[in-house]
Amino acid sequence: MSLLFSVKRVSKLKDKVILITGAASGLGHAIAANLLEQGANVVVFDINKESLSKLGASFDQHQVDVTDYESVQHEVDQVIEKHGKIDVLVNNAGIIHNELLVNLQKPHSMKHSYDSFKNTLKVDLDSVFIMTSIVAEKMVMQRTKGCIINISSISAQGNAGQTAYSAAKGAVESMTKTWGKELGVFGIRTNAIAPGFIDTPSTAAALNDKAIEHIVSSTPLRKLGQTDNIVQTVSYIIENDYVNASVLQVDGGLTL
Amino acid sequence: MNDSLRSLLQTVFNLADAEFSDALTAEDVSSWDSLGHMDLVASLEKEYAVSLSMQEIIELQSFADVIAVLRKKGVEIEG
Repeated sequence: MSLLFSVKRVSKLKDKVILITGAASGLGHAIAANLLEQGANVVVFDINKESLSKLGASFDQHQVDVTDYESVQHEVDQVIEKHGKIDVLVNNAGIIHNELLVNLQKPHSMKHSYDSFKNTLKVDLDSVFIMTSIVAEKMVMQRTKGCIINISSISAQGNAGQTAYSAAKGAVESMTKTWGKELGVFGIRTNAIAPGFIDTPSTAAALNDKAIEHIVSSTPLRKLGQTDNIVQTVSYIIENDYVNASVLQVDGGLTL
Repeated sequence: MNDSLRSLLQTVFNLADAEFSDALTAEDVSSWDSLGHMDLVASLEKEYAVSLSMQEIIELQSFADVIAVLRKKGVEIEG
């Protein structure tokens, strides 16, 4: 005689309050949609009003520039007032910037623009500091055993043509390890995900077909990653409460 | 002071038996910096199942303060 058991997996994400930056479109939106599906209360911070308007009422939407300290403080206060706490912060917002340090094809302006360097650092690095310092303060003071996930990049290893972007992502990984140690005593975990090249519209926009072919042939798995690979990793980090101060490489084994 | 509290403080601040005294203050203990203070708060809350307010966290400036705050929270501390 056999017994049949109906086992329903209850997601650990149910009713968690999860704040994701840059989640009105692209990878951030895919992460947000997946977490919503798993029963989380998903709060989206994004600067793009038009993209936010297409999200639907299931998301708690906030139009905010995550590089503006005062605005972030105000919006995080609003989130706490509405939801009472923040369990998870996903720092996803960012920009990709491609520029050589010295470009011989631009004889009259060969050097990397300092303005573009500073702007990339502001969006990709300062925003992570601003968001995390403000949210982590709430987590510490409310004794929320929270989780912070920073979206880094394989470029943190140093990618030719991406001085500013690589610098920002390298620093994000260093902050991840630092916060994992500082905040760990309160049970707050900090981790980063470093995706390789993911098959998204932004990858297609940033790289030509020849470059993508080269990346695929250099990747041991001989393919680009899928958005789902990153989405799954976010859930894994939230659910596994012993992962801390780590950078999870999701890159098919590619090394730059 | 209770053995458990003494052991907790020695662990948090990495103090050997010979270095330990009930009369130590934050100024006496080199490892009692801002990071050590976070560790102290988290360790006290975990060990004694209490929740410290911001004011109580600020008040922790010596081992005597630690005892006073714990007693205020209803924890029995000898000595």
